[in-house]
Amino acid sequence: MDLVQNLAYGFSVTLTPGNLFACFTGVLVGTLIGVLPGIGPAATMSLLLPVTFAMSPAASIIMLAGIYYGAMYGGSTTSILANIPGEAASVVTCLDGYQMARQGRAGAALGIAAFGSFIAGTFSVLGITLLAPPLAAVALRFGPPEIFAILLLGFTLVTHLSGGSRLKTVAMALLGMLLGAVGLDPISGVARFTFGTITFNDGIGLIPMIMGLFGVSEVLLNVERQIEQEVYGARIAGLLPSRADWKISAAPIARGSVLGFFLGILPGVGAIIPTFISYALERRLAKQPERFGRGAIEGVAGPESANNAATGGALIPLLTLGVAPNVPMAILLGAFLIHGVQPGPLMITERPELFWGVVASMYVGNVILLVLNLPLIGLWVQLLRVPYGLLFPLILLFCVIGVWSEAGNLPDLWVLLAFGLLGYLMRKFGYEPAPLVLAFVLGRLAEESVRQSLLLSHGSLGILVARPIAAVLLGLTLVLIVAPLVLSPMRRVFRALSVEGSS
Amino acid sequence: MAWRDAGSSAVLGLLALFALIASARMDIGAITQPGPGFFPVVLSAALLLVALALLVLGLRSGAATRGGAPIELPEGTEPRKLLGSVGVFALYIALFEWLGFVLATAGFLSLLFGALARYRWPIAVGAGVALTIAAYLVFNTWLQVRLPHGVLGRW
Repeated sequence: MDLVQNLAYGFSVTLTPGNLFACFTGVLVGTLIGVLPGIGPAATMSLLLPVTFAMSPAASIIMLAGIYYGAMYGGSTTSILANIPGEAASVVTCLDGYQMARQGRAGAALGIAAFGSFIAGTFSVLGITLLAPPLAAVALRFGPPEIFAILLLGFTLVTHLSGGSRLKTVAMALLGMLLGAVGLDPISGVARFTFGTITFNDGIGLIPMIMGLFGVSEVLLNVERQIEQEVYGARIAGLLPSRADWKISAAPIARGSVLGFFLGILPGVGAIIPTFISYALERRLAKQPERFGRGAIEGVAGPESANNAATGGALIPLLTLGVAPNVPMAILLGAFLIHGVQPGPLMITERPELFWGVVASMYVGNVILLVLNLPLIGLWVQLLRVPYGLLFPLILLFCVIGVWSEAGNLPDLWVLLAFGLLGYLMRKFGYEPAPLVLAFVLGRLAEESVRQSLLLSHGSLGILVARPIAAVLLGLTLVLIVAPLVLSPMRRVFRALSVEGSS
Repeated sequence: MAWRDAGSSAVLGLLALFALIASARMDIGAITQPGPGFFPVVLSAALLLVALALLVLGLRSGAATRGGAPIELPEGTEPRKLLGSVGVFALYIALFEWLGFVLATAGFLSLLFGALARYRWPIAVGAGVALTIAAYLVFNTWLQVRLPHGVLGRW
């Protein structure tokens, strides 16, 4: 069967009333629950997993996939409106999205996020259709050395991420990795930095950390100013992105889509790294990089497209190899298995109705997501009119419920408060929280991948450069580190020479 | 602003030193076979170096680090509100499990509405209680988040 036929078959599966209803319900419920801070895609999917048991396999997978991207989009909404990232993939959206909201441009931020997600989602569905089998083969060749190399590249790009001092960014990345080391060592099982208690054996929780660093600290910063007046008092200008916004955002959306899709395929990378890399990239390419962090629409458009495209990319290893590259995909894998379907290389031929049905449903789901969310933007923006004195206690309450809903663990709430205070102080002293979070998430993975690589090679560091993909990635990292060191003195010499020449 | 950068990097440096000492006690292993202590030692040593560099830069000149917006510590215009919010929030967390979600949350919201946002008390308490019930219904009853019942027990 050729491509068009395959897709047409997929659409014929998706567009049956039952499956269409499942898709619509999934996207709607995913968006509504995803908007509640702290309840991210993984939590929403596991909450609703039992509901899908009674459905047909196709309907249940279509609904769960709908919940996934609905919740991803819903999470961005709280990042933009209240600076509360529901999960790590929307941390970057806070940086400029929230600033846009404070300038009365929440509608434009939400709109560009919705359109960007739609375009990126569509792109990734096309990508799956065209490239699923060959890409899966490449993803399979990503072992620990390659993962380490791509993480190193990610870290290097992150030092270009922040608007402030580069040394401070490096300091925060190192601190983040150290915080990531808290808990039982994944390889030897030895407890690290737990001070003899078992509270932190599983490490510091990601959710309390990001909600503290972003949500709580933002509340503290606002509270010490006047809270009687509306902090968001700025006039709310336009509910949709303007023509100028589109002009700026078109290229970031395109780059974010490509980046997100290809990185999303890689196991372990998930939707987080693409968002950070996309942000760093847009900042590098911008004519006025100083606008970033102060409400640059590219800073929302690029990362939001990247995380949605990564969602599609992550389906490739799941559908073609039966490997779940992240937690939501693991839940989806569980749902397949519950219905007696084993995703893997044989699925395309053995269960084409499921494979192509799911792919086509993502296309339909993206359309529903857009149609559903454009009218909702007006409603979300109205929320900003709520006086801050009424809003800030609720933001704190949502942070507490979000943290509690994860594990029902009291120490996590203290972690939330501690990181709230830390985030407050960091911002007062000009340190960025985003690199800390990224390093926290990826530090553990980086350490594991190096140690696994060394186990594979029986202690030879050569393995990190002997494999072609890893070598190319490490070479690229080296260029990024060395180039500024070499180029700027050279540029100075050339400038001096040309000044002399012209005089 | 120089002393602030110097101060914050000194704190960071002390933290790194502490982590370095703690991780040096773990099994470090070798570069070809790193133990659990290897990465923490490398990371904390690197953090210590970066903190020292920041300290030197901060001491040398105020303009050495591109700090962005001016830092306004101690607190902005409302330090009491900041300390009050942190205090009430800490109290809320301390009582969250023991008092239970409903009582603790109603108290927490009412206190913030009334004392910090300065709504009239009947409005503050009314809104606090109504929003608590709404949150309980959405999260506990509908979304099945197991919120603590505390002294009220199961009902």
